[in-house]
Amino acid sequence: MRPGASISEQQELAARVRQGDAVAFERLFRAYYTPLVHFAVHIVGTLPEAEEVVQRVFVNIWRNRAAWAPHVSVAAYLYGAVRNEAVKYSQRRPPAVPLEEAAEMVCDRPHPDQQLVGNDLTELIERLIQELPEQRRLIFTLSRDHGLTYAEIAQSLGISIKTVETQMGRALRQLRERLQAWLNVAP
Amino acid sequence: MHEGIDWDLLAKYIAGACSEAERAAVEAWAAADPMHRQLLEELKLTWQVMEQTLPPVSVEAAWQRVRAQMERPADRPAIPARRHRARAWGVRVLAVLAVTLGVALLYHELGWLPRPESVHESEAPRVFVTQRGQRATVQLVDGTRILLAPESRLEVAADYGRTGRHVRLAGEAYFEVASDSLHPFVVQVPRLRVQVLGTAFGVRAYTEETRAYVAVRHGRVQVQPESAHARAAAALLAAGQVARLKEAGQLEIRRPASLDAYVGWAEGRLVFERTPLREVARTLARWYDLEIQLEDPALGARQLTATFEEAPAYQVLQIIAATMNLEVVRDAENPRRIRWREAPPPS
Repeated sequence: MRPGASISEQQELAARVRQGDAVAFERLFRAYYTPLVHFAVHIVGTLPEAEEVVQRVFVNIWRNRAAWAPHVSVAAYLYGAVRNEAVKYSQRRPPAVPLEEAAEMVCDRPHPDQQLVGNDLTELIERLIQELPEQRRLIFTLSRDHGLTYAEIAQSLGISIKTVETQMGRALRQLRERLQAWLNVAP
Repeated sequence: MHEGIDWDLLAKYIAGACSEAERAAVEAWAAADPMHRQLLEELKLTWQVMEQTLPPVSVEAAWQRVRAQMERPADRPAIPARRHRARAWGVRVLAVLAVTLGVALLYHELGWLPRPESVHESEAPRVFVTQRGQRATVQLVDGTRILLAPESRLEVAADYGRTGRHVRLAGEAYFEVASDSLHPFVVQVPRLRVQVLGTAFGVRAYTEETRAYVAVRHGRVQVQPESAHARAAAALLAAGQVARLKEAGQLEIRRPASLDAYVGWAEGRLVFERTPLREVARTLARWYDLEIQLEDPALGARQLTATFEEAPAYQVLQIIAATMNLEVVRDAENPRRIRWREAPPPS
């Protein structure tokens, strides 16, 4: 899912955007848009809102492009910016969003047991991941689903690498313990 | 086995974030003991990524939107200011009303409706439907949140938020209504109309159930029974009160010791208080998407008092069976079909 650009390629792209290269900006957008949206859904909850958030981030980057200098990793910058924007967004409902996009349904809090016979392990694991506390879940997702390095995760969320290490350790332990509990209950 | 396990290190290994030395250390650890190797394999399971379940995103459409804003000078998008909104955003006064209304289903089949994109007519309401075993949250433009219980249907009027805030419900839902005194929030069900100014409440009205109720946790709610025959008087419910709609169309107001039996579900608690087993069976069937039958219909009258908090279905069924001297029988062909029957006497 992660665009396979090397660090130097990312930096070059960023430099070109800084200079106002709209083609480079479009490439950046197309490369990162979908994974960023899927990430934002974890915070804002619905797909249209996630798209709104990610689009805002990109528009802001363009409007302030002359000063845009992501520290080393463009990916880390983008995920961090999306996360910040998503948190801001979910804290205050934006006024006057057109009605067609405003009402949205999210299937939340999946049941602990939607399948009596646990035949789909990966689906179960996805549910258990949803039950992790928010920051832990975001960190886990950024690592597993978005391929960010620990350093990038630390950078985008504004935390220390040590925190990332600890949270990942706890996430893994928690997931395994719940997986065990699940498998034990079934007859 | 779990003492002395360096979870952080194992996580780094699984995530591919290890240094060479760390990787070697983990592999040595795994080689030292088959149980370690096993644990590592189990942890790798959590790293398998599921196929993305979110609907595909149209990057092209999104790019067009962004491009349009790139070219526009940096000004605010032209959106009419709504002054009266300002108060609603500041402090959301959420009163909790659990409102259970006897709502005759307007539609006989609850199905999974397509996402709102398909509703383009400005007159058509937006419809949200949950299936059995499924809950969902609907977020409306004014900040109102509605939690739908399984097998429920909610319609939001197309002009919601403009002159009023109207929704229709069949099933059960828990409402947290943003405060907006200029636009009363109204929940309509065929036999009842519930009007609130700003509260949180739950409503239960399934057609196949004869009872309906409205329970208020915070705030106030006006409940108006509407029947073909007579217009019964409206009741103003305060926090802690429950209105039950009787068959004849009048309301019975009570103040139970706890509202948990009415709105506990919104927090993931299934609460039964002297609930007849046939209703327990129906609630569990809806909640977990099962088929639950009572082998002897007479069992249906037995009453259960119990609370379950997000427990797996099988556990709940077994606990109830043990409590009521029943046996859980599973269908060999269909694991979702369950029967309760009298347990044989101990031999």
